[in-house]
Amino acid sequence: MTDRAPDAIPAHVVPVWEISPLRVWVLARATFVQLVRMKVFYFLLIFAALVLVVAGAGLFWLPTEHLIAIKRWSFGAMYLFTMVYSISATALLLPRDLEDRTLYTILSKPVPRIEYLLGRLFGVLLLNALALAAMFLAMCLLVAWKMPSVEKQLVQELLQGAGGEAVSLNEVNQAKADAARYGLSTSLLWAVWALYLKACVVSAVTLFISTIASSSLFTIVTSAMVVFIGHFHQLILDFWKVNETGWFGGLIGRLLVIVFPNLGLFDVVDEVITGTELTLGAGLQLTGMGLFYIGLFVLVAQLVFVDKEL
Amino acid sequence: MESRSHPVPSAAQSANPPAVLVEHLTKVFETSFSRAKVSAVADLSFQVAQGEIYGLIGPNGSGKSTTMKVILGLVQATSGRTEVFGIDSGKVGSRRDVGFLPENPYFYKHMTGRETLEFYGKLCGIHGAELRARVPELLATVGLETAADRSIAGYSKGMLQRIGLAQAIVHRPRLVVLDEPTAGVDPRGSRQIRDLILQMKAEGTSVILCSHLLEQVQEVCDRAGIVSKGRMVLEGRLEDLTQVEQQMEYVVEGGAPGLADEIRALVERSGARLVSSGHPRTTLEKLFLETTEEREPVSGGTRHD
Amino acid sequence: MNRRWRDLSRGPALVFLVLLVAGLVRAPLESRLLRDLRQAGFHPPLRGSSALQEVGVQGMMGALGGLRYMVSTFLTLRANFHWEFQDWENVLQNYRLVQVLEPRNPDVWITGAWHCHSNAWAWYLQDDPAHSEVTRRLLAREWLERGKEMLRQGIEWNPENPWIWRDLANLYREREGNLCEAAECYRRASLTPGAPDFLHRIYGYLLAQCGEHDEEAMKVLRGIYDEGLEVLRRQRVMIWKPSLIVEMRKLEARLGVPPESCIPERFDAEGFVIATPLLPKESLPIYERLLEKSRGPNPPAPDPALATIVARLREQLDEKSAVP
Repeated sequence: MTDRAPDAIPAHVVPVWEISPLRVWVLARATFVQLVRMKVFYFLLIFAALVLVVAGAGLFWLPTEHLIAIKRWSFGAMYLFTMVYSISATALLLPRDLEDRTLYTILSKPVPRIEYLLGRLFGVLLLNALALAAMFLAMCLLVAWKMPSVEKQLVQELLQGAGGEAVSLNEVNQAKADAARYGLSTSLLWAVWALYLKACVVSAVTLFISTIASSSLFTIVTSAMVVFIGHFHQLILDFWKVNETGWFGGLIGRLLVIVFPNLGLFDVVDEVITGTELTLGAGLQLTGMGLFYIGLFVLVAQLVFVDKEL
Repeated sequence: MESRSHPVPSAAQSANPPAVLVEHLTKVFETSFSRAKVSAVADLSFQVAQGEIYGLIGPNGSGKSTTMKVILGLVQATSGRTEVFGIDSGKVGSRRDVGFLPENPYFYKHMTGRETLEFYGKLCGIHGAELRARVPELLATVGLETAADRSIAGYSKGMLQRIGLAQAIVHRPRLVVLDEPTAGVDPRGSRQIRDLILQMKAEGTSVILCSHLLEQVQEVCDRAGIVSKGRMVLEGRLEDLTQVEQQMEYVVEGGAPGLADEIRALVERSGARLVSSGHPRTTLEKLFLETTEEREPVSGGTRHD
Repeated sequence: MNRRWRDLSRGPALVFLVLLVAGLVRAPLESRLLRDLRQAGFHPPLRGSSALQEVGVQGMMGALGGLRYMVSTFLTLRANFHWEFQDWENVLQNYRLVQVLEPRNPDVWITGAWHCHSNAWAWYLQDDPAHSEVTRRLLAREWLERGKEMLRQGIEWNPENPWIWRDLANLYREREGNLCEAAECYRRASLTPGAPDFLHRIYGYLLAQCGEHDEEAMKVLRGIYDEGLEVLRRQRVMIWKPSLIVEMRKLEARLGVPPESCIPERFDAEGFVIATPLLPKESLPIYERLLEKSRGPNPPAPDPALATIVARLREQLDEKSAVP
């Protein structure tokens, strides 16, 4: 402040008529650090303990059931983490910044509001990505560790199941292939990706709601409702097929389906865990749909936020 | 009361636009449910020249904060024009050269003082070596070197105010908007902040100072505007505002010996009484109370309807 | 840019309009995606026995979102806990909930039914201290029926899974001695995509053993035999299992097959290898046991064809042990 010519415009200032990825990254990083320092990663310890208990417990009768249980509990924990953090972390950010007036100091800098929204959103997405990656890796290590013993059990079961008959090598290989289906596969990557996409969509929806809402609590409750309804698309569609709902019921149902995001679409974990393969085409379509939803809800969030009186 | 008209050229076209131009600014809020309209600012006009320190004073709810928010682009004007260095304040570009310290600022509690300044610096586009050099410099300026690596959560109100001031000037803005910069700060810290404002002035930075400490405004501002119920009721140079109209003061240089006695005798002969030999001034506080309580004002500044 | 946005934004109406238009744009895309996912085996259309059930299942799944698997595993563990105390009603209730949550997981039908048709059934027959023998028999029968019904429901949800069919077949065979029905279940199991070969073989054996469809059984076993013969001739590898010889011999006798069409007494294939996933020394006792069982009444000599196979297996063992 001592060596500046009074009328000099700092040359390093990024042109403001463009969204600056650098500023978005600064905000995203700050958001990520903020959430990390709120000790959210302690959840990972709970996760590790949970899957280790499931992996070590001799509570499952079928050998494949054991592998499925490890994957299910892992994916269940991942789902819980991503949904809770996608909603609560996103819901905390904007209303709290407004309440603490940190929003004033940020937006009085040359920061377009869209950059603030994107920065906050990407911070939450980064947190979810790293947490999911860590949990997924832990799950894969456990499954890989359990795989040989499950394979062995499965072959033995086959020999017993053939009723005293000797079984052919081909059949043993079939049994091993069956075991492999319950083990690690590239489709598991698609499953975790679909889960992540869903979390991203939920974060974007929550961000949008937080631009309208006046408190974190309202944002959390409303977002949870949207997530809840978002899983009922197929139900609503099926309900039409089997029930006469009348024009009013039909209209409401159609509006719900059109306006609310179809989150059930991203639920591919169940089938993947039991060995169904997700094709590249379907995976890419799912990715496209996720990006579409994220873009849509960032757009409507911006439409509301750009005019918001702070 | 006479109305002051602003001979405002188109600031954008001007080669040397004012730091801030507010022209016929009106802001009406609508309440959420009843949609009732509440006027916060009504036809407010003023401008701040480059390098000038301008005091904006008024009672609570007079529209000061709303005016500042419009200048900073946080709130949109219902009507009127607001420009910062010739750029519409609604545009993000207008904030490249503005620093803002809100009243009772809060910052991210998870950050240290140093990280806070780095964060705001990066938002302003300062990176790398430049930022690494700028942050210690600012910490020294606001006297927070020893607390630089402490979490903001442990900062006192005065420290928060000082780190707030540091973030406001991290990018060396040409205009700094300060909302109650010394609120909650001890006298020593207050003096530091005052000195900083004067330093900014010396460097040619324009400042808008919103403060209830009228003594402070009187001490540092070149001009001031008094806002009441969303309107500018009095505005002018501090010297003019605080002048007592019914009394006269003559400053004479190089008068012959005995001139003062002659003047005194002349005054006595005319039946007047010599009050003092200096030019008496009212205090800004007195002026403030008089103008905002709708009593007959003293003269000296420009009255606004 | 801000000004443009501001001009665009005219309150909630615009936001709603954007969501509406986006909804209409994405509807066909989502339909296509859903169709592709269904083709790949995801989000299969429900096959519940009634529309109300479909809606109920979907409602429950939707309500739990991605947590239903955790809930379902928890319920499974709870069922196991009740099993420890022979609290069969609670075992059944928990499994029914698990089946509502995961109807397309065959394991939950198989395990749930197993608790009914094996564990509860056996407990009522043997260990139940509270009831008279007649009542115990009635209760055991009731649990057997519950298990059967559960497997049938499981098949309705998972028609392409061979293992539920196999369990139903075993239930008919072991609990009711209904070998014809068991054979039919094995047949259905063997028709599912990717079913292991032995399901078809066991279908043939059971059909032969049930005594009502000898000709059909002969056709099935002959098919397996001919296939094995081809492999034996071409690759010098014997893929038949001893039971095939045993069952075919019985059928030959019952159907009065002329000697020239019967299985030959010796296989003209010196030095052939017997394919077995077990070590030959582990397989040998099984083969020898079957050879012993194949002794006819008059004269009480073992089946010569089977004897050839067992002899060859012994040779195979000796050859192995001779290798340093």
